[in-house]
Amino acid sequence: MSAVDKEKRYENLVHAYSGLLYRYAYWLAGDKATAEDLVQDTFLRAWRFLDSLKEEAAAKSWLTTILRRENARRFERKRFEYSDVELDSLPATQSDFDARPEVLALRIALKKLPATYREPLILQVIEGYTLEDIAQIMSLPRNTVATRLHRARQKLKQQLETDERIAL
Amino acid sequence: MNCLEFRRLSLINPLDVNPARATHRQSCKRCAKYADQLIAQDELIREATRIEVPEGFAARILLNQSLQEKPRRPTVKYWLSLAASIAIAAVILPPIIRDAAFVPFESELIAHVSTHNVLSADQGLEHRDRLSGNHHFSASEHASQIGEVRQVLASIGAEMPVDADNILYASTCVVDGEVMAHLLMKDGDEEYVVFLMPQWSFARTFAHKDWIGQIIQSNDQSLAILNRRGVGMSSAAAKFSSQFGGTQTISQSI
Repeated sequence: MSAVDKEKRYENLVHAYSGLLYRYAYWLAGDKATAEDLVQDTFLRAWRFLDSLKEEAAAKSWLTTILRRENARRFERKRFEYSDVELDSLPATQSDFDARPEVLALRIALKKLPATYREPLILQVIEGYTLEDIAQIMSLPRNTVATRLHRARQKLKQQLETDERIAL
Repeated sequence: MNCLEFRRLSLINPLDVNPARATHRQSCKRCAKYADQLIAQDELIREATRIEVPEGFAARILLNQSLQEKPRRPTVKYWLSLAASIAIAAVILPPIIRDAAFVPFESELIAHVSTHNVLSADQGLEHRDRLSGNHHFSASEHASQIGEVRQVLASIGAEMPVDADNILYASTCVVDGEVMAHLLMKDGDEEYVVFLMPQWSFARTFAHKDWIGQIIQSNDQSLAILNRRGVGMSSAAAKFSSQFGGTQTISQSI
């Protein structure tokens, strides 16, 4: 691949997927600055290994896999200083988030979900990945992903119903 | 399929298109309601997790990549390796070098502009399509692109020295490993391409079989102005060039 082709291919990937990866990174990391750093690191690594991406159709899951690994590296680097930002402590101004009560309740319920359940749910609902894609990205058997999605929705539903009962 | 299985599958994916599930859904109102609740819950998740992507984010990623590509300060080991390489090359390479083609920087510019087909007279409009999704920018998209280019230039201490009214198209591109602003300018009926190259500082004129151009040095940065060779350097491009100290005319026979 010529240098020009590589640059053009890279630009296309950045324009096509940086927004999507940012949203996913935000829900992995919990804050905007870290999300931005994660996506920057993801694309730097993608540039180095761009030749290993053989099919453009696989680009989205390839980049998502890199981003998950970058996030894991971030945990390794900052194991002793990292403090997870509470999602419900994030600024919830009108410009940042939908502040309707039902949406806020769902954000809190999502935050209460264990990460093992929340992550496949985010990948499926927000990023539109199939069960098979998620299994590949998370390096898990398909049935494990199915079980986690099942439990994630079940827990979310129960949590929202409990909150509703308390509110009444 | 029974209700239990239907609900199990719905919790895994409420939009699952399994035919047996669809049949059960039509025959069981309670399960249909259950599935609808899950679909509504998913929609609420999408709303709850929606977040704005920072303005100019893609351009900043490209800039970061280009800065990372810049060579690091050479070490002693580097110089020793280089000296050894030169010694070997002096013996082995002369016959090969005689036949090798020299590829100057402007060839990279021309390759970039040819690939992107940015002049509206060109057939593809691929670059514009890719960014906008169609051939027509809305005023806000156009302003956003120009704003993004300005932001990237500002982040490396440069500014856009041209009037936004004359810019038909603006993008931040990576050419030869460096970020630069790629503009399509219009003056009357004439269109020409301008690259603002804040990380370069040199001047020269050049010609290619399809393109003719001039690189001008201005305030520690360079600008490249390109025109189709068939039409020569347009008067608009020459006028633009002269604002930055370029020559008014460039011979077709460079």
